[in-house]
This record gives sequence, structure tokens and C-alpha cells, in this order.
Amino acid sequence: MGLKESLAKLTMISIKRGDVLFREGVQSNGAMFFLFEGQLDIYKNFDGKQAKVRSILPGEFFGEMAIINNSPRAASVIAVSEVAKLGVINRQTFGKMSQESPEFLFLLLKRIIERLFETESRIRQIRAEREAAAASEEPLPVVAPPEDDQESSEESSDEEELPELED
Amino acid sequence: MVFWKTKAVQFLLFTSMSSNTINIFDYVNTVPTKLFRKNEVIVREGEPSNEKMYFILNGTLKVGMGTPEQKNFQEVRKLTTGQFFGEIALISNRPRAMTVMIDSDKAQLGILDKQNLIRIANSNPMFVYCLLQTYVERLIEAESRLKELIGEEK
Repeated sequence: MGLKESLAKLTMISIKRGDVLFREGVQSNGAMFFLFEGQLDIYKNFDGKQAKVRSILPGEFFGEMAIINNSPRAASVIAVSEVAKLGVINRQTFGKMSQESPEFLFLLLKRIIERLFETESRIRQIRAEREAAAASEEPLPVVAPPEDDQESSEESSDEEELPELED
Repeated sequence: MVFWKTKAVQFLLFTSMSSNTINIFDYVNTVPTKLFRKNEVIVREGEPSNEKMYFILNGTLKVGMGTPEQKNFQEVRKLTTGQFFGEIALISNRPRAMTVMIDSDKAQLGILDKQNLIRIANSNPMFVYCLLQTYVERLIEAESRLKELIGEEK
């Protein structure tokens, strides 16, 4: 059985503009979703401010972290189109879909690896920018050199732990 | 139909277990493996992707910049039994960002490309599920690190 057939059997829900499908930080009910129709926006809290991360368009899966890891929701999702139609994939449906359509798990795997790659690239970029900024702002050795050394070695040992396997 | 229902139940039982008890290497007999010798290069920096990722079944590998042929290989870190690398090749055609070569006398690697990953997903979804779980854990870690970094800016 293919993915299309599995999707056709999903329980459908409909939400209206402004409705919050789920909120960041809230323990999930272990469901992920497939957007059939409409548009949703993903918001994330960065240091007390809600920032839009991106939109979800028809044909996308989302919310899979909750099923796979049982972790609280990593972001909030809000409907921005007048109506949004969603298929609900709970744990049981997830198990079935994984059995029936192998490309389902592969698709999710692909997405997670992409997100990991993007997140790790951003981390590296921010670190590189800060190192460059720190280097240019450091003509006066106000900070005692040994302390400085220690700090940078901590930074690099931290990086060692990151499995940056993006090659 | 009854058959897959039973399998689905097993699958759900597994998924409700703690992630620590699931070991991706329990499924490793479904992955083609190959034995390599010391100093053999698995992927080379700058080379076009061969769309394969690798699992270390046993042995130690070194990851670094440069290549031994150009005599400018500089080790960045080591990888060892149980670790895997090269997954970006499964999803994009970016050239290899680093060189990975065998460090121990011998090393056995599991080799996975998109085709056999989909095939394995067919016969053994738990394998792909475990892989997925590993990357989700790494993603959660990376996202919280990113959040901290952005928070520090203030």
C-alpha cells in the first residue's frame, strides 16, 4: 500500500484562521499532522519573543518530533488561512503507516536530517561570526590572556562533542 | 491483513519503550557491510557525494580536512564503533565536506544508500525508526543549543 492510500484513511480535522493547533512547550498528545489544505505558520519563542520560523503548506507532514521522541512541542502552530484541513496521525496510525508505506519513514528521516543540518550550520555560523567579532574587538588585552585561553578551549571542546556529520 | 496488524502492535510496543533500550545495531544484519583496512579512505573531502551513509560496526575512523594524497590531511576527531556518518549524502548532492579514513588496523562498516534504506524500511521499519529517533534526539539537542546561543546575544 502506498502513502497516498494511507493518507486517504486519516481522520480529518478542520481549524479556522487564528486557531492554535498546538503550543510550544506543551506536552504533546503524541500526534503529528499532514496538511491537506490551507496554510499554517510555525512560531517559536526566542528569548521571550515569538518569531515566525516558516509556513507549512499543503502536502507537508509536521509535528513528528512528538511521536518519535515524546518531547514537548518544539514550536507553536497557528492557522493563517481561513480554513485549514489536516489529517491526524496518532501513534497507532503512525505504526500502521510505517508498515504500509516505507517511504513515509524515509520522508520523515530526510526532513529531520535536513533540519539537523540547517540547525548545525546556523550554530557554526553564529559561532564563527562571534569569533570574528571578538577578534576584531580585541586590540586591547584587557582580559587576562590565560582566562581567555581557557574560554576558547572550552568552546572548542564543546564543539568536539557535537556530532557534525554533515559531509 | 492480520499479519501486519500483529506487526503494527509489535512496532507500537517497541516505540513505547525508552529510547535507550533500542539499539540500531540490533538491525544491522539488514545492512550490507564491508571490511576496510588501515588508511583506506571512505569519503574524500570535495568529492561528489556517492549518496551513501556509513555505520561503524567495529573499528576506529578519523575525520579531518584535506586528503592523504595531497598530504594535507588534518585530523579533527575520531569516530568509533556504534557511530555513523555521511547521512547528508542521502538527502542532497553536496560534495563531501570532510575526509574520513580508517584509523584502526581493520574496520567493518555498514553501507546504506537511499535504495537499500527504502528496501529496509519495507521489511524492517524499526531500523529506519531507530535511525529517525537518533536524529530527532540530535536535533533536539542542536535546537536547544541554538536557542541558548541566540539568548546570549541579548
